[in-house]
Amino acid sequence: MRKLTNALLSLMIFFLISSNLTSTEPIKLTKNFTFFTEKNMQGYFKPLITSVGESMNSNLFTRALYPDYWSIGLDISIMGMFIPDDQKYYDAELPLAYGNTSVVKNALLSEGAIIKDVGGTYKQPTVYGGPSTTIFAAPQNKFTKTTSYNGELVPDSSYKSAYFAEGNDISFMAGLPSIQLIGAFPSRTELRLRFLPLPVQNEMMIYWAVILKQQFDHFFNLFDPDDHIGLAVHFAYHSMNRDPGLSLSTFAVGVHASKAWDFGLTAYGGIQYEGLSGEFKAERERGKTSVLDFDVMNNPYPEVRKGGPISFALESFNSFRLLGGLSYRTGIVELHADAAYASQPILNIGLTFWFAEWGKKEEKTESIERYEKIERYERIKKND
Amino acid sequence: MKNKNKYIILTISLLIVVFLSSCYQNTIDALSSFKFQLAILFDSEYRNKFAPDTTIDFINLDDYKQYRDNKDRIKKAQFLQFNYWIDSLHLANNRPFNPKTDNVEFEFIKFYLVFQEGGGMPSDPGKRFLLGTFNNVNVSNYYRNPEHILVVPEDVAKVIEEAVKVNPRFYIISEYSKVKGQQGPKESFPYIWARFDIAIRFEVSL
Repeated sequence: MRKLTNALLSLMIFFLISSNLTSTEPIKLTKNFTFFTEKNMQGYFKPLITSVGESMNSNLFTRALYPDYWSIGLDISIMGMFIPDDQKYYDAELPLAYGNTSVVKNALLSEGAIIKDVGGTYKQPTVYGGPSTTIFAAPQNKFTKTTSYNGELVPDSSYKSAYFAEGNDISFMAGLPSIQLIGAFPSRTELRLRFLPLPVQNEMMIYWAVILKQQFDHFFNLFDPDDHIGLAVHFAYHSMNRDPGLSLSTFAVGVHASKAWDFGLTAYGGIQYEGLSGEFKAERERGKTSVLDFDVMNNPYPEVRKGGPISFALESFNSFRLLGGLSYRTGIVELHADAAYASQPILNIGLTFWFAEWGKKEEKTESIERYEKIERYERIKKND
Repeated sequence: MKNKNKYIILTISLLIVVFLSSCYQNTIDALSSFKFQLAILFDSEYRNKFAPDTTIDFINLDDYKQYRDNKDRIKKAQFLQFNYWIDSLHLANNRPFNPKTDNVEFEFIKFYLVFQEGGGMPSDPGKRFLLGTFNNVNVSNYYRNPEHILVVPEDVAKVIEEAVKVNPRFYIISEYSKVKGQQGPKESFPYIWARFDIAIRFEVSL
């Protein structure tokens, strides 16, 4: 037992050290993404970050009836998220003087209608959305080199048309598959560990997670053990790190319950609160850029014209999940599937293989030797 | 009984794996390319022009970083929309056009695209693609006003899409009609500064 505890501790220490393995190369934005401003890149990718966070916090639990003996298992699950329509678009920031018709007039064609002089923000597709809309602009005085606007100097008055990235028309997004090692303890505690290194631009990005669950209904004798009902709390922490460039962490905390039947089926459900935070930093590739590149020179965003690094906070739309599912165990295999209501509703399915179980308490049964049986039989016969 | 359960589990598992792997494949396919629009700007400044007449602008997409960096991976380049507006115009007496008091109206302005061949513009009119026509172009309405946007016809866009994959050099020909109420065969415009932007959708492999 001590060996197992030591092994688990070593594994955890390895995870923590691995996440801090230092890489030196900053992430370079590939050629496709250099025309994003920080805000627009954040808006464009926020639904994708939500999917990543949701998939990390999937498959944290099935049954809330944890055994009072040791066991080890391996769980593999895959999931997918339904993308709601409101996450297919974001409010893209527009060039500073858009909307000020004395500096620049603009117009766009959307669904057959001309929309004029938009300013501030305008709806554009996220990574899951559809086509984007180019906004055509006409400066009102081309000869002015700089214009003071809202206390800031607009780079020039030759305000140019603004264009945006398009989405990929995705309504169902496959999540990150999860492979996790499971260890269950006699205290009716279960620990799940995940670890995945991924190469990103010649450096390793490390993903690791710790999920801890504790059954508690038996402390208060809430249910008759013969009813096979369990109640448990769970906590999960995930980290994805590629230093420098990407740091993402997410957590989930919640309660779950289950009811099992003798033939192997278990119904389970739970609620959880989730949070996600992190930062993305990258450099725009400048190697081949020339000041004479028309698109760089004509870009209406000073930030893009200037180049330089890009950085934004990673955020998720989701903070709550309500989940229900079924699991069926036969032998060492447990098949489980669940559906969850969340910002992006989730379907999750997986298989758990229970490799080893030990330390089971023996059931108290009366053992009657053969000769005892004969004696008892004779005694009963006499009484008759 | 136990064996039966095992077979059920195995069958369900296989079905799920097949279903979800197809979902994963769809997602991977969708995310294997990146689409963006690029607005290409034409600043056309001309002196001593007449109506009717044509103007010619040359464009080389290699001058655009987004194109140059991605050209080996371009799957599609669809010409979507374009707009046209006039920034400055001088009338025959070399007086700047005043949109509040002057009235100049072209019957039409047509825009054609023709790909460069052998370092020059082919003379064959059959190689011109009509991008669109603005009719009854009242200069006052088009004066520093970007709201005149045309959608490139689908059939033309299809042809251009194929051609631009191999040839990023093309000309835009603007054909100006005569002015409404024009007296002589040619109406003089000592100075024209016009602009048109073309929105192109690029799809590149990641």
